[in-house]
Amino acid sequence: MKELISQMSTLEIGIIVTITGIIIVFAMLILLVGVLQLFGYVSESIQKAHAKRADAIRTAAMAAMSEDGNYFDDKTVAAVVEDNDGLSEEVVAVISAAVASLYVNSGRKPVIKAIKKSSSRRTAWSNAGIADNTRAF
Amino acid sequence: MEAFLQTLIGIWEASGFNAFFVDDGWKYALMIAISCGLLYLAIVKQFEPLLLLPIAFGMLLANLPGANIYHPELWVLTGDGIDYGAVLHDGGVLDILYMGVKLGIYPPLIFLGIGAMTDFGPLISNPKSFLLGAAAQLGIFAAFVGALAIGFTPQEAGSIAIIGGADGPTAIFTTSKLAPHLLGPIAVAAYSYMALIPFIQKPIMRLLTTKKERLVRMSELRTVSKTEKIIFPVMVTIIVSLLIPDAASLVGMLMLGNLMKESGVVERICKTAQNELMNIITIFLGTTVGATTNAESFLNLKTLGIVLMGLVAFCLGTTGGLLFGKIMYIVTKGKVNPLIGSAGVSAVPMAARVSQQVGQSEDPGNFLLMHAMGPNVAGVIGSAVAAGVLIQMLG
Repeated sequence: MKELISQMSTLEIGIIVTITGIIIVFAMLILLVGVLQLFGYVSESIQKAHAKRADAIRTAAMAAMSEDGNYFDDKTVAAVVEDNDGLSEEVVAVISAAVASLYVNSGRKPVIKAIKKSSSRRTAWSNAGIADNTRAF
Repeated sequence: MEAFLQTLIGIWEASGFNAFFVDDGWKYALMIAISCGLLYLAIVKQFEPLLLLPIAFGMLLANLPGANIYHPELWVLTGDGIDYGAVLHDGGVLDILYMGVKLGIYPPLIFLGIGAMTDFGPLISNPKSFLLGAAAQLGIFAAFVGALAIGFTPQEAGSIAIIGGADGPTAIFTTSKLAPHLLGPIAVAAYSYMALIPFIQKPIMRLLTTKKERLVRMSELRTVSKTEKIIFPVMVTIIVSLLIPDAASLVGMLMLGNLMKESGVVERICKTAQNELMNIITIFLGTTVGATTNAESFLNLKTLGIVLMGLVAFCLGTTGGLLFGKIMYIVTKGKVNPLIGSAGVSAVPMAARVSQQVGQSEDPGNFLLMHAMGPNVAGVIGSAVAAGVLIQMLG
């Protein structure tokens, strides 16, 4: 390349280097655009598939819950809500859905008898720290 | 008494002060004044102080007559190349440190630190930003033609033109390969223009865009997964390095730094790359580059040509990015704000910030920063590719 350039006039060098340089820079970055777009398309497809599967599990859990009234009934819900100030029906539904999703493919049907707030004043992390520090040698 | 006077005269004649009055010694005094001016800009006006301060002080050290901290005669290319043995034997501290510039070590290490601090998410979520990064490199090649026209050699013209990429390490890397005798003035010009980005770009942005275009609000970028951010640097390194091997050291180190950041499993060395390593290399690079600006190499008409063509390259780069932004505005039927095109120069994140400021001056609720970061980081890759092309064709 150097020998070729050294044989050219200044004008020829200017034109050749400019045109070649612009074409190569654009071609390289267009190639990267194409690869990235393809990659983004594949990544988004995988993410959508994951999200769809998660939705399906959640839907199945909710469907199983609503089909079988043994998960909770209005009396249990009312009792729970009454016993716990601030624990709304929505929170009861979320906790119940979480429990149902654990058992959705196991064939077992758990029955929620009660939902109560933990009486401990300490958080779970505090309790874990205390347990760790006071464990017998 | 006579012996005493003779001794005093001898001390005076051996001093640097006397050297100012001998032959062209006044040039050293002028260079010291220029270095003090650059120190003022770096410290008081805060023009890219991290690099301009060591460059200015390196300039000061190199122009102290008789100090012999830097020996330009050791770096003159002979038929057998540079005599590194003589450098190690006879060189001063700045000569030893300068080897990192000459051997092309410091700029890739700077890129390692830059990669460790860069988030390529906005680019990955909108790959079309690469095109704006490519368009901004048009200024490099246009300035190349201009520099040839005013009498520079092709290698010198390539080194001057790369200033248009607005990337200090790339400019230093390219110049050290193509025209090392112009390293000092090109480095000073490159970093000075990078500091002046808000002043240079804003008038061009207002001139080349309409109010309607500046008011465009762009849609939110998609979320990029961690997997994409990890695969991106590996993929770019393989593709670019295989096609343009001369760009491998810059792009490879940039992507190594980024991979260290995104993987999340090497936090310790990532922190080192972002902080201690960057700081050490910045000190060595800045001081030694500044030391190459001795009176003979700096005070001549070529330096004036470099300063002027560097400014032209910079302006043309901004113009190229803006014009391509306008094309994208038309093609996407008004979904792309052309202002983000000016961020295609690789001065991260200042150029993106300027796009945000200009857009927000028209519409305070318009947040273009993350959209402009895409072309901005694409410009880093684009300028490294352009440098690789120039080195391959002219080196």
